[in-house]
Amino acid sequence: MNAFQSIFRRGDGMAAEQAERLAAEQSDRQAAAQNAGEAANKATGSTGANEPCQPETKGPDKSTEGFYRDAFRRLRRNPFAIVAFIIILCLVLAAIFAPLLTPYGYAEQSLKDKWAPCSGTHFFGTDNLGRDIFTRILYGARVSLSVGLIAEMIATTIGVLMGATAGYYGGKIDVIISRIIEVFASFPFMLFAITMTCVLGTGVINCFIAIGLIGWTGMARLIRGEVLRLKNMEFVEAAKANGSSGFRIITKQLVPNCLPTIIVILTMDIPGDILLESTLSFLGLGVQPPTPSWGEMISAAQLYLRQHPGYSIFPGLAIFITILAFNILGDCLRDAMDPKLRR
Amino acid sequence: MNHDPEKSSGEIVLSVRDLKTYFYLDNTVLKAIDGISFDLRKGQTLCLVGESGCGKSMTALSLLGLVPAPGKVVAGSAIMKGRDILKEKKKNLWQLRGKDIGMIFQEPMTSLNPVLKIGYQISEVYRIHGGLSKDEAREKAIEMLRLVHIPEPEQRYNDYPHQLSGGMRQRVMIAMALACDPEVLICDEPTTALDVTVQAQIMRLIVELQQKMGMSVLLITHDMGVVSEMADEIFVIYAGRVVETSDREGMFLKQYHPYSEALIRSIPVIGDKDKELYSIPGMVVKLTDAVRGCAFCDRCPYAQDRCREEVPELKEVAPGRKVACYRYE
Repeated sequence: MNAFQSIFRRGDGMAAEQAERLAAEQSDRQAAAQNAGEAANKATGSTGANEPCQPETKGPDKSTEGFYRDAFRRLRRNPFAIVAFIIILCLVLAAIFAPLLTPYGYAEQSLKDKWAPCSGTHFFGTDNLGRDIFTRILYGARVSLSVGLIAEMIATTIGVLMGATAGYYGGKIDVIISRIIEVFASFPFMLFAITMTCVLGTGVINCFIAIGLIGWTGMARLIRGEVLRLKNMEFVEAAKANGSSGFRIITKQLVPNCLPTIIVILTMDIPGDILLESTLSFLGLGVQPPTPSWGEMISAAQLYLRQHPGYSIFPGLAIFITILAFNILGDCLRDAMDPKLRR
Repeated sequence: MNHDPEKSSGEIVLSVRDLKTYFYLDNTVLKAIDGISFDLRKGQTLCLVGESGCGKSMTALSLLGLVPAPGKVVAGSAIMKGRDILKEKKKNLWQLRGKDIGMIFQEPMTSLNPVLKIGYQISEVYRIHGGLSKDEAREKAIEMLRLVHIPEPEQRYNDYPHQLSGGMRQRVMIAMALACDPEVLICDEPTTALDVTVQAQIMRLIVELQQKMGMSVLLITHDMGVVSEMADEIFVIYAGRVVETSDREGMFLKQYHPYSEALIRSIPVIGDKDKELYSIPGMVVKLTDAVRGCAFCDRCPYAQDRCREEVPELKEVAPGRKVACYRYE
């Protein structure tokens, strides 16, 4: 169990390193955007006095969202990103249309067929109760993907709000929130999850909540850093001079500026969440049988590891491929939003 | 731009008295503004002139309650509509900002949020102060864009700041500042970051809107060219104090304070190849406690012993002219 814990725990050092890199790239990006803007101004100049001036658009393409469009264009050119995206898309479709893709129910037992080998009727074979492993992996994708979605949504909401509040207001509020972040970040995850499930009871939703509540610290730290940098920019001052409240400045001015960071962190955090869910389910704290989840399947399969390795290999592969796809997509997204590649 | 004498007798919109803003640093107190007083009349343009770091911008920020962290407005009053805006509660200040006092910043490049549509940024002001719905705010914002002569305002509404030139961005800033029809417009070096050709357009736009909307302008600048075009009244500021006040014509005919004299002398003259451009010797004093006497005395060619001991008071030396200098006593 200890080995599992250490494997499945988020590498904190790695996260910090990523954070730094991202922050640096972010500021580069902004600088580059500004340079581009200045260059455009020099090119177009300004004409006319108080009578209407010439419209000043850059070139024929009226791209409104230059940065995101650029990033998307670069993303599309990257074959890794395409492959990762297709894998994730397949997973999503598989999770949604699981009942159509397989004739079996996920809890449907057929003891006479138990330990059936891989075949045309049972693609990945069957388990000790004669349940179709392929079916259970399809349904397991629902849990894994919704954990990525829901837990990450909780984590992002808390993380962005806490980080932005700390960064924007500074002073005592910053100190308090930063300490809270540190406490949460240094809390042993398993202990926290076990406590959570003791308080709330086991189950998928509680598992999501536990993962969301522990996973927001990285996001909060990064957003705090971003906001610290952004809040000294003149447009924040201008917004203040227009009578915007602090809350309005955070939500309407600062968070949209942090969006690229948020998107990248989100994509990179999802695999961690999926792993955590697997861990929790492996330990019996997450998804409860007979609802399938990849972690829960591996947990059930460990008894038969020698005799029937397929039972643990297939869900393991599912976890592996999903996480790989998300990681690659996250990497590609980060590269796509890198200002140095901007043309 | 007409400067008829009736203007100076206009009703006082904003009356600032003895404004003091200090910065409390680790072991010193930095007196960024040390007793500035002025009256801003309806429809009038008052210029605060001085070099960098003399407290011009801090005056504007003090009025809006936006003085950055270690700084604090420690004394003074600013009466507007019968209430002292310096003593306004923090949570009520938002009503003042943007609605009673609009502000234009120096850098149109960075004063607009790079990731939001310009139209949206203007409509925000209406959403905050007018409580308008999204569509109404949008209509108003387009109207405002038209008012500041941005062509095709419906299309430009959806532009991002990086798609506009500096001059256009400054127009957007003006539209934002004037959205709620404020009585006072503070322009903090509105043309410093712009091309010379665009500067004139922006200044003309401000004057045009001033006449149309009848607001008063507090213009903060170090550009004597702008001052000579715009000002009804000129306040020369040095090291957080007013050293000389004048109307526009008077200032360029005769300067009483040695600092004003030096300022005027440092205006470059086109075509004068032989003359080296004048610069005031020395640096602005550090505005810490240690300064005694007139802050300018170290750079002043006429400095006497008395100048190093006492601070001269602002006294009338000619009709409409006040100077803080011992030379005229």
